[in-house]
Amino acid sequence: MSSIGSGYDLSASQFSPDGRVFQVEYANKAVEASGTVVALRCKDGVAFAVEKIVTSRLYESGSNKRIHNVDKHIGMAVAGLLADARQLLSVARDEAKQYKYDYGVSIPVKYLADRLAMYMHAYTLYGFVRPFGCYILLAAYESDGPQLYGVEPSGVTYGYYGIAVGKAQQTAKTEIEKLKLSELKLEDAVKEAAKIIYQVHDEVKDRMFELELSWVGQLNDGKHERVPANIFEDAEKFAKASLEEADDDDDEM
Amino acid sequence: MLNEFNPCRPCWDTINDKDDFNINHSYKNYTISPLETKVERNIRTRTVTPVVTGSSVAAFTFNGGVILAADVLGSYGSLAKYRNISRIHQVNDRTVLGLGGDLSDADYIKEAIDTKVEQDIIEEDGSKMTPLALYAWSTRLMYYRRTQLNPLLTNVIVAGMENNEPFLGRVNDKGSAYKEFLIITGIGIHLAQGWIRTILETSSQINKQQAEQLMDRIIKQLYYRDCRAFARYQVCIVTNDNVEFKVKEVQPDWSLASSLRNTE
Repeated sequence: MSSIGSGYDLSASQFSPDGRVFQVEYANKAVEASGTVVALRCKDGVAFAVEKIVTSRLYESGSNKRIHNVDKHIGMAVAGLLADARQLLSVARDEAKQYKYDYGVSIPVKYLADRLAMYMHAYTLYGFVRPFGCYILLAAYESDGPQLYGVEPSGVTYGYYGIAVGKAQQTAKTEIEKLKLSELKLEDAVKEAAKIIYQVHDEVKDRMFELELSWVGQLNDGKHERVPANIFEDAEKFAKASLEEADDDDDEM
Repeated sequence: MLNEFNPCRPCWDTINDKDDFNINHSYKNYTISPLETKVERNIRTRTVTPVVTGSSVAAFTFNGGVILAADVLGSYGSLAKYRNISRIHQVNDRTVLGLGGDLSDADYIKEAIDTKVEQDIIEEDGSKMTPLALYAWSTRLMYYRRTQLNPLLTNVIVAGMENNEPFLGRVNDKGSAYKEFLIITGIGIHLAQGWIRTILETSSQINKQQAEQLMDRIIKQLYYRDCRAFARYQVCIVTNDNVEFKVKEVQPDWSLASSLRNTE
């Protein structure tokens, strides 16, 4: 495994001699252990696809969703510790509500990402709290087009065209780089995102998973919502079909 | 004497520093009196009288729905200042709110409700604001403000379809709430409630068209006799199918006036 902190990793208020804060890096490990999230910002919207790993057949399907609404127009997808994410979701919703109350308009997703980042960063400064073990993705379709932001456990935030977080983030990232995002339409982006999830899902280690899909874009007037049932079915079919094609290719070889 | 000594009040030299010109001098500006309650501190800042007001709201249930009507006037005392204010507010597809009295407090209530409803939609747990829930919530809000001696000087009428049955209730500025088949607020209580009640009690369930005609007659009566009424008014009809808004204008018949005393 990676280097052990050996004494410099006891709290977030300690630097190591080579200038790392180990607690924050360990928080990233928590993110890397969770199911993959893929987000694609295409020409006219943003699509989220989440591989929600189901550890038991006894769980009711649809429990512990990983895609949420922050405000009507902003969607949040989480990777990492779900309980930590729930608190961040609550904080994000409060920020959005307060902004609407103060200024009369919905909060621009860039500001929300900044505020959430500031909040997450605060938990990396002190020894009596631990950093949040989750990676937050925020998406919206605003007047200047689709926006996608990601906030790391360290409190750093970037804007993205496409991003994958979680177990299979490297493989998924390679798949995303193959797509021409600036030319993709939202209906296709949703299908592509579902396809990537199915491709990177590890059948051996995690048997069952539920796919969660959501979108926000011009076609639904910038209102973030889970994809309608028929679009969901189409996306799943497309994803499974492409898996079989890949299998056939492998067989031929 | 020792019982007069207040450690929280600044002591000043009553022999050398005292003068006779202590006008507007108040300890309350910079001391904390430990025995003063929040209410007593607030008494100087609470709403006492309404500023911009809406007049009566009339509402009753009929066979298959509820009908509400309110004029579109915001009065600044006796000045008819804002002549296009909607006092009936749609909350969702089966609940509406009618508001009378102070209109800035009415706006506060509308904003609070809208935020609450939007947050419920965002949570995605399938819950939806129903008239009964809104009625209960408004009661809690109004009563709370009453206990703080800082009331919202509005009457709130909650109407809609609860479990596909017509619902109608009113909460006033004191937090007193009741549900009825007929609710009128403001001066309409004195001008209309009596005879409407007689009509509605003695007739069997009226239908939507009859309800509209009856409501037009009520508003006309209020326009004749209420000094703060306005000819243009808004009617809202809630049924299981939809929420319908109409704007109408009173067609008064003043021909009777010449035969009445004290009218020109």
